[in-house]
Amino acid sequence: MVKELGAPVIVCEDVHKWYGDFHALRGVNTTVREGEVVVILGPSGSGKSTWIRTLNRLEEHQRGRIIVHGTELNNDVRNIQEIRREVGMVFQQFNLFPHLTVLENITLAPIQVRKWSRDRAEEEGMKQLTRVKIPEQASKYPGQLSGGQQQRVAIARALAMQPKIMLFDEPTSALDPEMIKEVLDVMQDLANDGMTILAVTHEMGFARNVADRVIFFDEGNIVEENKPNTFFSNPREERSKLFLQQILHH
Amino acid sequence: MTTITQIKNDPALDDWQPLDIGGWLRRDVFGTVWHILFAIILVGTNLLVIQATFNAAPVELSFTLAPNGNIGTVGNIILALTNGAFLTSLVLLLWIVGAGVVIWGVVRHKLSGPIQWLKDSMYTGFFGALTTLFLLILIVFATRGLLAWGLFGANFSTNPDAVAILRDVTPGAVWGIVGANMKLFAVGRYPYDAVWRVWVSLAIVIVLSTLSLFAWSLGSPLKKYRPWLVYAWLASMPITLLLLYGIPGTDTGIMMTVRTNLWGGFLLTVVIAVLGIVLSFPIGLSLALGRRSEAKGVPMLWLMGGGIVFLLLYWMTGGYPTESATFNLPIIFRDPPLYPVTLTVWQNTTLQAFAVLGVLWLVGYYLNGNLIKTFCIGYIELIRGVPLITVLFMANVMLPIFLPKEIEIDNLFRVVVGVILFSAAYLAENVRGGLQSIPKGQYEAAMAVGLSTSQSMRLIILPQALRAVIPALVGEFIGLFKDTSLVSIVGLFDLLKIAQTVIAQPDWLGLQRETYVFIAFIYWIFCFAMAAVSIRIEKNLGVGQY
Ligand SMILES: Nc1ncnc2c1ncn2[C@@H]1O[C@H](COP(=O)(O)OP(=O)(O)OP(=O)(O)O)[C@@H](O)[C@H]1O
Ligand SMILES: [Mg+2]
Repeated sequence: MVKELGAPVIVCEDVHKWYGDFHALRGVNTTVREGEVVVILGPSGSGKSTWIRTLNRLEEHQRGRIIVHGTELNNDVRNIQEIRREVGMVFQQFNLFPHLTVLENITLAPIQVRKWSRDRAEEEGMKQLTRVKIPEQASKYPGQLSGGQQQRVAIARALAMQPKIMLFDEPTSALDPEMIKEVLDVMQDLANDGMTILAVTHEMGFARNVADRVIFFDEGNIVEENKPNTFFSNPREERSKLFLQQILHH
Repeated sequence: MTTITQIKNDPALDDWQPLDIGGWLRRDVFGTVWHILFAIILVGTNLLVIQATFNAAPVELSFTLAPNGNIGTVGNIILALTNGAFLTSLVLLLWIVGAGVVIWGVVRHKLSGPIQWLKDSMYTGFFGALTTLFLLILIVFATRGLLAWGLFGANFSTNPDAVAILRDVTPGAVWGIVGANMKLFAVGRYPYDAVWRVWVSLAIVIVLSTLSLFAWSLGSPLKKYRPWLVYAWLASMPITLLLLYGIPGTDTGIMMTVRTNLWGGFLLTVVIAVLGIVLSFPIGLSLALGRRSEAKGVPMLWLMGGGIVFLLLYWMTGGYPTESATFNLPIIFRDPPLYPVTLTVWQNTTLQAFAVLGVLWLVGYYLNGNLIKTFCIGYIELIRGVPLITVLFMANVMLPIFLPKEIEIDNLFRVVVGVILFSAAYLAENVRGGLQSIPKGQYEAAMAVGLSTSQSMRLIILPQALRAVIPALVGEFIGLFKDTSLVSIVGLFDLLKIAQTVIAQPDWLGLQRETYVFIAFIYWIFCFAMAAVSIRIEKNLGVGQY
């Protein structure tokens, strides 16, 4: 099956980022197309999180251009707000709001940001909860759920804003093995529905089976990008080979 | 095989030492000796206390219970029940029965709930049981003494003449001083004709409190009226103040002005405390947010430009020194200790310019121009560095010096402002503690779903941060309520000051004890109520549930 990819939705041109003196991103160039599923790999500290977080301005880049969905990320707060409406994000530590119920977690942003009525937001929220297969947990508090359930609520929370792009930063790294699958299944469903996905993950199975492209990061820049099959069976760069050897040995 | 290894590993054989005298002394001799000594002391004290209470003098009865020394029926019953021998025997008997029940339960290996509690908290071992006996007797006799003074031997008449006649034969408290001065304690010198307005204010508060208690209990049918109640509370503040003060400028009629120098007693204490609590909270909140603000600095150029504009404006509006001025600098180790310095116009101008621009430069250089943060830190640390009494003196004595003579600010108003400014600094630090306890991920998640900064503060961060610090905030409020007693030093007639004037009344001279016990009781009731409400709020908000 060959997937039809749409127009470019994320364009990065020579993106640089410094933390004080530390040069964390060193001129990242890439384009992500609509409906594409991109998995980002790379050793620890290589800048994967930093890069993915510059895409919705959780981190500010200092040089270069980032254009998301036709809007350039700059210091204009309206642009930032606009982009954050279109980009959902899922964190390693879930970051649910502990003082709100599951449904309130999900409906908060649609009501406050999209200005939907409560009824409409709740209807949409229940739809997303059904999509991640836990509609029965709607009135519980996050603290009463398992890790896998919490991460699925976090996905539903991001989806309720009806984003065009979903960013995942190691969504399964804080989970027990038996819960990883339920989260990956949800992500796979999303990919099948045609969502544009950027995911930092160490789940090689997901990268092989679901991704359209693998981006390999090292020392703050993209070292290699390729189709998953080619990348895993026949990596071009020396550093990619080394990295693959290390993780495959585990 | 096993046996041999076991024997070999037996520490007693392995670590055999010729003579562990120290250990033997520590473990066997002194361990036991100290225990024995301690037991002897405990038993001895118990015996002494039992003997003393057994022979305790009978309680003395007031004239009401024993007119002309003839003890009536009620008096006789009281005497019988408070008899030292009777009370001591009763406590001993109860203690023995309790011990028996516990021992019986232990022997039968069956401990029901209450017996388990008895065993765990009252009869924890030999020493625990003896301590229980000791404390029981102390508590029973302390209560007996308190009742004897405050009730059985007390005189409740509010007629000063009747009290004076009986004064010598009254063994206990003379509560008349409280009863006869109830109005003073309640509202101070507030005019009689207008006291009904205090009652109406009180009624408003009571009605609103009751409704709120219902509306904020879990699963209440009044839940949807909560916002209205909040508005009602907000409106109740100016309404009650208007009721208490009257319509400004009217000297007659039902809404005549009652100047604040006539407010006093409990009314004044509550007004200061409530205004202090309600108004210092938003200020404290803003200070806490300001202290954490990371507003990107004002560029140095703007700072300097602003400074120059300020200086020019200041000089053009009459601040420019037109002639040389002489200042008296205080100098230590000189007599007289003042050193006159004369500055020419130019020197004076330069000094002013350096002072203003220098401060702004410091702010720009060291604090990246974050003026809000600088101001908040400066304010909080300044206020926290001085005692409340200093702030009150500042408000009361110093403020008029800085203001033109014509402007006269109400004394109560000044004090309330002082209290608000003081307590805001402490609240700010409490709130900041709560803000710091919120993990970074919460801010990031709020931003990632598209909430604006103010939305994420209002909906995500503050609800969690404030919840976390409810106990600290309530502690602050209780402290504030009690600190209102300091305003008596700057001439306001709060509850404590009223108590002092009441004690000085010729009719009731020498009755400090009754008065102070009474106002202590009032303070306690209110602080306790605040603590109780806080526990209720915490429960309803489910603090610690998630
Ligand atoms: N807030 C920060 N301040 C300073 N340095 C930072 C900050 N965040 C990240 N860094 C540094 O930037 C580099 C890239 O970090 P990043 O979190 O993007 O790595 P990563 O590829 O996501 O690694 P991991 O797989 O461990 O999550 C690291 O060397 C890290 O130490
Ligand atoms: Mg990372």
